[in-house]
Amino acid sequence: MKNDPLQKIFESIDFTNDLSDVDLEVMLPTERLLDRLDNAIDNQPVGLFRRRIWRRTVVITTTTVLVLAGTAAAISLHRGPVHDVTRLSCFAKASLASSADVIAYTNHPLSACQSLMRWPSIPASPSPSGSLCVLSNGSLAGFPPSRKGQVCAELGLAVFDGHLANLRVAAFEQSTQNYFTHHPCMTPAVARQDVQGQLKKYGISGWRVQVSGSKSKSACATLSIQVPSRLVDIVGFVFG
Amino acid sequence: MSNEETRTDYARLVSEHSKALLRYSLRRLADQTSCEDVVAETFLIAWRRWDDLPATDKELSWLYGIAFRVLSNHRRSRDRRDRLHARLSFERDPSEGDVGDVDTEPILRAIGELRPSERELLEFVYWERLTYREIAVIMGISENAVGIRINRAKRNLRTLLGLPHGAIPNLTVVRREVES
Repeated sequence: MKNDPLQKIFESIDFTNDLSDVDLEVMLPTERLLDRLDNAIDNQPVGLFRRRIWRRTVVITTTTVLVLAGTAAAISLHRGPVHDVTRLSCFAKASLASSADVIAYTNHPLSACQSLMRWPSIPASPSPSGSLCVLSNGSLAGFPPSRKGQVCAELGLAVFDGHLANLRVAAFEQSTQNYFTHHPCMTPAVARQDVQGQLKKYGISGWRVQVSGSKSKSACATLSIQVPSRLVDIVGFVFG
Repeated sequence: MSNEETRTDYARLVSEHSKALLRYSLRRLADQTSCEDVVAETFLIAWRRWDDLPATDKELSWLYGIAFRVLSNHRRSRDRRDRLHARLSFERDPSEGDVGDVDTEPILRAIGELRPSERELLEFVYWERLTYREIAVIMGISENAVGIRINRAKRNLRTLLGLPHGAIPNLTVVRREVES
């Protein structure tokens, strides 16, 4: 150490070398420091830290456990709705980097993905196994079963909230409106048939299809889908 | 130990080590008021942790350990190290400033470019003259890790100073050329 040149380098930038103990005493008189400390410690029992540290340890440990448990619960329960009901992405493996095919919506997304991507099936399980997650673009994605279990959480995706009925209704709504847009003047009777066909296609039951207004063969149908009351209202009217 | 005896022993601790802690703070902080606060805070924590007070010959390194953490807290809010370097680099009168005719500017610049943890280790070695064992206790790492990191820090500092690795023959490369 004595011959270490770095020692000299550090000494060269240590301006306290110029300060003697007397200088330091002037800067911070011991008496003043003791007075200051006396005032500070008057209300603090000696060795307070050890007593506090136990309390602090308990508080920190409890908080950490609660935060971790909350985070785990939030991750495992993170569920989301699907906004884009027109597409279903079927992935070959439980990875976003694996190949995927995008197909049109189907009533049985997992079955469709399983047969399309040839996922390995579990013999004991009668229903198709796999995971339905919500992609960042709001569409539905199917992944094959994984040993890790929680595929969606592993991939940082929301688990599809499971309301296939809602998904069917949304798909029906979207599909029917698209159909009416492309066929601007259907008679109310044809419209009724088409709507009933769409309801059947999407496996929706318990809905009423109501036709009102003109029933003339030259009448054009307008459509109103009222989801809360499960009603499709078709109104015919004649232009001019 | 009665409360009175503890207070007497505490006063002894303060009297014996306040200067060393003040030097420690002055080397690292820009303003004297902050240094006084660091010293006071260090001794206040020492009072709270009185049960952990080690044997007399290890008291100072124990206090350095407390001061090290107190300083870290100060640095979190403001990077006073940079201010110290800036002050040393720009406020010193060149005619009186450099110690032993060594140009400190390139040294300060090189030390400033070291990682803070490397800088801290070298400062403990060369300013406080602590042993690897003492530094290991202060920083909460193994003595072996201290040795490895110090060697790496020295190597990096030599590179930053533009000095060859291994032994440094002299300081001529950092000496200021004095005009006659």
